Order: sequence, then structure tokens, then C-alpha cells
Amino acid sequence: MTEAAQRDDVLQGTLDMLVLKALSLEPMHGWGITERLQQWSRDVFQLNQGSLYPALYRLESQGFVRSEWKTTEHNRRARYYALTAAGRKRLAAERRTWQRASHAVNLILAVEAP
Amino acid sequence: MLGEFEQLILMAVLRAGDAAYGIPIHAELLRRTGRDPSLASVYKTLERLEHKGFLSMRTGAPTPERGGRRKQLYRVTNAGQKELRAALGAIRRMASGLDVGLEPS
Amino acid sequence: MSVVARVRAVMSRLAGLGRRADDERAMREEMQFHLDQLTRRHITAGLPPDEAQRRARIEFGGIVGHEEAARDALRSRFVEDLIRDLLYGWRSLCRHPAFALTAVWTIGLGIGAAVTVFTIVDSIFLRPLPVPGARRLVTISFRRPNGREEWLGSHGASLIRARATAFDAVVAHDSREVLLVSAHGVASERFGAFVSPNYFDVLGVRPYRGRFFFASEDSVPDRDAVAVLGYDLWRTQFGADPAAVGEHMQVRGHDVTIVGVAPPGFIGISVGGAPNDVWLPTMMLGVTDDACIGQIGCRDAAALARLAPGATLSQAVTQLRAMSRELNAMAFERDTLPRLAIAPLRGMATDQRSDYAALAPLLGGIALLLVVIACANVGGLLVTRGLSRAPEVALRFSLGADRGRVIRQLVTENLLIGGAGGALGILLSVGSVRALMGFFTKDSEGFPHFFYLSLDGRVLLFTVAASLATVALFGVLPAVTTSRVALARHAAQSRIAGRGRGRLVLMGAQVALSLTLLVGAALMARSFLALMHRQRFDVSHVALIRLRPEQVHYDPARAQRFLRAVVSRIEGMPDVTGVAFGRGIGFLWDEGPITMPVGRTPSDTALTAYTRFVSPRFLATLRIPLLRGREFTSDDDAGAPRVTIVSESVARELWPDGSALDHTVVLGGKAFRVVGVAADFAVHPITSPAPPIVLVPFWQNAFQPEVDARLAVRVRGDPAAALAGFRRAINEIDPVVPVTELMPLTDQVRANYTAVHLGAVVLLVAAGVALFLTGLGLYGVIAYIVERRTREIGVRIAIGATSFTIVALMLRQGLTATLVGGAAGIAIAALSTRLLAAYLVGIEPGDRVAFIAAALGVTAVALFATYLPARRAARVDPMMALRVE
Repeated sequence: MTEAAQRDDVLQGTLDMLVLKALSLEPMHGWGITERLQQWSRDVFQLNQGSLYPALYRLESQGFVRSEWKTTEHNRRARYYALTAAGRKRLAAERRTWQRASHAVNLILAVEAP
Repeated sequence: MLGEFEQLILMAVLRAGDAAYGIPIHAELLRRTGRDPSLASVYKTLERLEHKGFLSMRTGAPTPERGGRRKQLYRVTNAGQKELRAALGAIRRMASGLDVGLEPS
Repeated sequence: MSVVARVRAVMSRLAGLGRRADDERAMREEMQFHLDQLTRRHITAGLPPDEAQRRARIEFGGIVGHEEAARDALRSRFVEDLIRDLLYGWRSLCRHPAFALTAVWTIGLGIGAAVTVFTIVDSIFLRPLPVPGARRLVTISFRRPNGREEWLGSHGASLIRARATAFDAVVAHDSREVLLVSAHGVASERFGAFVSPNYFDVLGVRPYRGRFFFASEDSVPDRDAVAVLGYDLWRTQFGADPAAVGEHMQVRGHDVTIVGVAPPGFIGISVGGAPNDVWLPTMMLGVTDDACIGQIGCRDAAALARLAPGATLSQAVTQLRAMSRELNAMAFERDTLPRLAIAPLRGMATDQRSDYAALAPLLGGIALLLVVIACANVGGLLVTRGLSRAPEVALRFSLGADRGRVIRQLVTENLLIGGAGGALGILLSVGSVRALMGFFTKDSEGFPHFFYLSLDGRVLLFTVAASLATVALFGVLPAVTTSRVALARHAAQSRIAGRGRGRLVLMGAQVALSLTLLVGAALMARSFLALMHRQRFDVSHVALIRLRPEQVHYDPARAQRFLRAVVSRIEGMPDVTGVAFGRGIGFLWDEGPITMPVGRTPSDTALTAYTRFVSPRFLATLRIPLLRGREFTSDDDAGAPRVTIVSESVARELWPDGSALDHTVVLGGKAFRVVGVAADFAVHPITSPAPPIVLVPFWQNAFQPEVDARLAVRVRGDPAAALAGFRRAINEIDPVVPVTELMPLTDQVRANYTAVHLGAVVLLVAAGVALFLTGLGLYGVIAYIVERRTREIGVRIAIGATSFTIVALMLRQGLTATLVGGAAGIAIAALSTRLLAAYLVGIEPGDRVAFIAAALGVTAVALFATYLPARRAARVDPMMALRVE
């Protein structure tokens, strides 16, 4: 696997988790997910639009989200994604993995030079 | 040395001109001498004469005729003409003056 | 668009892709929504709409890229991609129909030419018989030191059969005998074969009715008079009656019993010769003129053998060599040196190929020229197209498309063109092969010749390979370079594309080649026309009939009674305006009639003339001008004084003062009075000056009683249609006498000039195609140049150039190429037309008319092809032009 692909893998995993989280409160369309994540991260995260939809489609084919077409308040048609039960379980698992990983990273970074 | 039949065949080839293949040569013989040899013997003699170098042969017709079977056309070579002249000359010299009822054709 | 969408939906369903189409639409809609929201946010932030949209698009990245990445992430199935690419390519081609049609037709013409030549060469030289085990069949013959081939002989074949174990079957056959076959009161000339009993078995043929020969029936000469009928003969002359088996019929006057019928479609193995209608055992060769069974030096049949399974050719050669002394002694009277030759049985019999040996290189050369021209055109087309699409491709890349995918789509599009071109090429070749071989399918005696010309696997393979090669060469390269160019941002396009100068040079070369072909065509056409008319009499509307009472042993009195009856009967038929007849081994175009020395005195034998024994009104019927005196009448018969009509050249030679009439001429030793002088007319195909001819009345029986005769009947309408009626009328008078060689006179003339006719037609078609392609190419180049220089043209028009000036400017480009190419073409033609010298009669290889005509033709086409796009240049709107880019 190339380096880019490896990086993508890691990022992919993180992205998936964030998307699942974004949907955990209520169903939302792709644009809404972007906005929400941006909001929650206090503008730190500008989500790479290019990766969002592939992620959504992947999650859907894996069965973690489901989609349906609805009309927005502005009378536009948009596809809304919602978390499934499997998705919730997945989110919880990803969260645990992330917390363990970030804890380990922090430990390493905290080591002072003698 | 040319046999008698060979001489006749050579002369028939000369007469047949551009149409010197089996059937017309045979026709010349028939017309002029009244002899009716088999075509096979005519072909054999033609081939023998060619082998001796007195005739040359080429396959005829730019278009294949006889459904694909080409005529073999013969021509008397210089050697053949010389041989024929010698043979005929010998006969003429022998016959001159002899009274056996020969008339001009 | 709806059509395409529907097609796509259908295809998706076929590939089991279910909701694909909907998915596509949905995905796009989804992303469009996202993009719109992003745009709205920018607008809300205060940006102007245009700017907002642009910013949004940049931030969002390429929708296209997303779609593709998304799709790739989920399902990357090859078939689905391929189908989509094909449809995309199809749509893209539909948007540029001119390009697509041009490319497909250009490739089609090139491949068509190549496949045609391949099929013909294959059928003449390479193709095995269409029978099982054909690849193991070999011919065994003698080859003389001068290259001439001789048959082995039936006796030799028997020896090989007994001794050589490398073969599991040896067949002797003479497949080229013309036999007079009479049955049920109808006599006709048929093409028959004398064969060993295992002939049918080796060829994998089963009797349709009855049986084939027993081995015992081919053991004793002349004993077993049995025959097998061909299916067509059985159908036409025996009414497909099953009771024909067991009946008797006459073959050359010999009574034979029919024992079986061959299956439909089986016509013997005389490829390039006539189909066989009847088979007899080799021991019955006594029926023919050439019988020599049992004699030394008898080479009455050809030998065909099948290698035993597991045996090799070299083993066979070794075994044969051991027998060669014996075989030689049997086949040749004297000690001759012919070597045994053994070769796989392929195509035509080797001793028949000489005519076509000249055909192969001629056709090959022409096909090669056409292929070169086609490739040059296609190359130019595809490169130009690639470059003109560079902006579109670049845009796609900037929108994030995957490079591999883009290349794949370009390649697929080219594959579509290549595939369509290949299919078109095959279609074209089927027609052209048939047309070409049609030239050889009737000889001057009316016998049909057959070839195996079907498309077989090898040809198809060849076509596929050729199409792929073309496409790979000219399609993939531009596709790859295009993507690279696009990545380099097509600003550099102008530099890389060049000013079209390379293509103009290429065009010049094409003009040269086209001119060469056209000169050749003009020369051959003039030669052919001259030949058709050099007979100096009217060859149209004449039907030929040959009567053969000699074959049924009629005596001259009976034969002449028959002839008179036939003539008066036919003269009385409607639409008949004249009947002429005559005797001679050839009538008008065969090898040559009787020749006799002719002179004023018996000893004056310097001049030799063709002698014709002809009917009254011979000259009038054939429309040969009578210059002085009179024609023969019915009074010029056996009891009357001998008269003759001489041709102009004879009259001039013998009486230079012009006083030929009423003088006496000695012909073949007999005296004739000259009663008429006829214009010179031709009897021999290729004689340039008219030969000396003397005519003698048929009915005078001057040299021998006349028996056989050939009729020339002038009719008002189509002579071919009248033939059946004539045959019926003659059969009614006397059904026993064979009637043969019924054909229109024009057929016979044409058969004698096959080579020239064929050459003329092939060169004409090739020149036409080459000109067409060159014209197309020129059009393309000039159009390309116009497009590239649009801005410059716009500027010129803006500052006042007239349309005339613009057109002239563009024309100059094309004309330069044409003139230079034309000059080169004339030079090449001048050198190469010498190759045609053998086929040109009465025309020089340097004939000025042909050269001028060709040059004019090429120039006209080039001018036209250049003028069309040049005219468009003049219509360029300066405003639009300056805004381009």
C-alpha cells in the first residue's frame, strides 16, 4: 500500500467516525454534515468535500447508515442519511479505539527531555 | 535423323502456324496426307521432337481455355528447320528424274 | 439524450446493474445540492453570484472527481466501466459525425483492400480443399529442369499406392476432360473427371443416390463403363429422377451406365478450373483422345496422396525417391531428368497458376498503396482530433478526473472506430472479392471457372489483427499523448500541434500516389476500350453458337443438310437480323484459324494469311466494311468457280496498284478469283497490325468437305436472352447434334482480354478510392489550418481583406501540396507504367492523353477539397474569431 493510501486509511477511519457522530443526533444530508462538523469543531475542521460522499456511500454499503430522499425547507430535494443500530454500535467502538489511541499519543508526547 | 512420321509432323506444325497444337496438327495431317493417326501418337511425336530440340513448346492462351486445360503450342526451331530441309532435300534429290508418277500438288 | 439514457438503462439491466442509472442521477443531484448550498453561503457572505459559484466550485473540487472516486470506492466492476466507456465513446462520436464517418470509412476502405487481396491470394495459392483431412493431402508430380510440371500418370500412382507406406491413400485423377454427354436426347459438353475409386472416399464424399465406383471397376482398361453424375447434371438433364441410376448415357459416343449421383455442392477439385459434372474410372480414359493406358510415357492422370497419420512429409519424400527411377521410366520415353515433386495441395493446381501469378503482385501493390494512404489519413485524423479535444480533456482533468479513466475512454472510443472500420472492411471485401473473381469465371469457350472465396477463420483473424493494429498505432498513441498534453495545460497546444505542415507534406505524398494509380487506370482503360473496338466490326448484339456434327460422326452431306436447315430456321426467327457462319478451329478469337500461303502464283508463298471458310453475307452480318466488289452468295457453292474475298492488307500486298478485283490468287495451291476486298479486321487477340485474311465460301468445300460450323447470329435485342430459343430450335431440327459454346460475342471478346479488363477495373477502383481518401485528407488538413488560424483570419478580415484574398490564401496551402505531389506523381508514374506495358495494346506506357487526364482529375479533386474549407475561412466573423480563447 502506498503512503498516500495508508494516510487515507487512517484519515478514512477518523472521517467515518466523525460522520457517524454527526448523524448520531438526527438524520442529515451531506451539506448539513459538513456544516455541523465545521460548527462543532469551532471552524477547525474544513471537511474535505471530496472525501465526504465516498465515505457516506461506503458507510451505507456497510450498513451503518441508511439514506432516503426528502424535501428541505426550501423545497429542494436532498438525500438524508440516518444512523442505523449497527451504526451506533460502530460509532461507540470507533470512539473507544480513538480514545485509546489518542491517550497513547499524549503519553508519548508528554515525555520530557532529560 | 528424322523418321517419316516425324517429318510429316514437323511440316504440319509449320503449316498450322499459330494454331500448332494437337488437334489442328492432326487435322493438317488428315487433310494433306489422308493419314489418321491417334492423337496420342501425335502428342508423343511432338514431345519427342521437342526433346530432340526440333520443336519448342509454350502453353497458349492468355485466358485458360477448355475449362482450365491449356493448349500446348509448338513451333519449329531453327535446328528443326535445318533437319527438315536436310531430310526433304535428300528425298528431292533421290526423287528427281525418277518416273514414279509424281505430280506437282 | 433520452435515447442514450434509455439505452444505458437497458444495458444496465442487462448487466444486472439494477439501479445504476438512477444511482448516477441521484448522485449528481446530491452533489449539485451540496454545491448550491456552498454557493449560497458565499453569496450570503457578500460575494457576487458569479464569484460565489466559482469559489464554491473550487472548494468543492470536481464533481466529476467525486463521482468517480465515490463510484470507485464502492464498486469497480470492469464490465460496467467498459459498457459506460463504450456508450460514452458512442455519444462522443455521435456529436462529431463527420469525423466518425470519415475515420470509419477510411479504415474500412484500407482494411477492405487488404482483406480482398488476402482472400484472393489465399484462394489461389494457400487454401486447402474444403474437405476433412485436406491438410494432409499432397500432390505428386514431375518437374522439368525448366520448371514445367508434368502429371505422374495412373500407372505411377498405382505403384506409389502399392509401395509407399507414408501414404494411406493415393488417388489418380484427370479432372479436366471436356466430354460430350448425351442423354434423353440432349447432348451437351460437360467437364468430366476420370478418377480412382478411392477419390470420393479421400474427399469425404458420400453418394447422394446409388453408389460410387468399386475397386474392381478400375482394374481393366475399357471394361467397366460406369459413371457418376454430378448433382446439377442429374437435376437438369435427368429431372432429378431417382431412376436415373441404372440408366445409360453416351459419353463421347461410348455407352456408359450411371451408377450414382454425387451430393449437391460437390464439383470436383479443379480449383480455378471448371466444375466437374460427371466422373468415370481412370480405366475408361480410352474414351478420350489422350488414351495411352499401359503405354510407356503415358502421363494420363495427376496424382494426389494423403499422408498417413503420423507420417511426415520427409518420410514420404524419402520413400518416393527410392521409387523415382521406376516412376521416371514409366512416365517418360527417354532418359529425362524430371525430378519428383511433392507439395501440399493448396489453392489452384500449380500448372494453372501462371495467369494469376501476375495478378497477385498487382493487387498486392495496389492494396498496399491504398492501405498506406488510408493509414496516413487515419493517422492525421486521429491526431488532429486528439489535439482538438485537448481543451475538453484538460478541463476534465482540472475537475479532478482520474487520468487512467480518461485514457481508457479515449482508447475505447478509438476501439469503436477500429471495430466499425473492420466490420465495414469485411463487408466491402466480400463484394469486391466476388466482383474481381467474376472476371475469371467464364472463359472464351463459355466454361465457368470456380474458386473457393468464402471468408474463413484466417481472414477474419487477419481483419481483427489489422483493425487492432490500425487502432493501436493511430488511436492509442494520440490518446496517451493527448492526456499528457492536457496535463501540460493546453496553452502549449499551439506549439505542439504544429502548423499542419507535416500533414501537408503527407497530403502531397498521397496526391502523388493517387496520380500514379489514376495514370495506370487511364492507360488500362484506354487499352481495353481500344481492344474492344479494334476488331473493327460491331461486336454487340451477336450470339455465338457452335454446332458439332463431327462429334456424332455425321458425314459431310448430312452435316451440311443439317446446317442449311438450322440456318434457314434461325433466319426466320423473330428479332434475328442476320446469320453468318464459318469454319475454322477458331472462329473469331481463338488461337488462330487455318493459315495458308497466298500469292499471285503457285510459287509465290511469301505471304501467309489466315483463311476463313465463311457463309454468304458474312461481312454484312458482322458489319465488316466491304470495300470493293461483292460478298459471297448461295451460288458460290461446290460446283461453281472458286472465289475469294481478301482483306485490305492482302490486296495491298499482292496488288499495290489497287487492282485486286478479278485477279487470280493462289491459296494453298489452288486458284481463286478475287471477287471482293474487305476492310482489315482482327482475328487474333493481341496482334497489333491487322493480320492478312482471306475468305473462302463455306459451301464451296474448297479444301475438304465442311462438317462443323460456328454461327454468329445478329439479333435486335439482348443476345444472351436469345440463346435458349436458338438451342431449342436447333434441338427440334436434330436433337442428336451437340450444340456448344453458346454465348454472346461480347462475352467471348471480354474473356480474351480478361487481364486488361481486370487491370483496368482494379486500377480504376483503386484510383477512385485513393482520390477520395486524398480529397478527404486534404479537406481535413485545410479545415484544420483554417481553424488554427482563425484569429489571424479574423484580423485580416477586420483590416479589410476580401473574401477572395482569404480563400486564395487558404487555397495556396492546398495547391502547393497538390502541385508538388502531382509533379512527383507524374515522375513516379512515368517510371512505373512500364510495368503495365505487357497489358497495353496500341497504347504507349507514356501515353499523353492518359497522363493529362489523370493530372486534370487529381487537380480537380484537390481544388474542390481545398476550396470547401477555404470558403468557410472567408466567412469567419472577425468578432467571433477575435473572441476565441
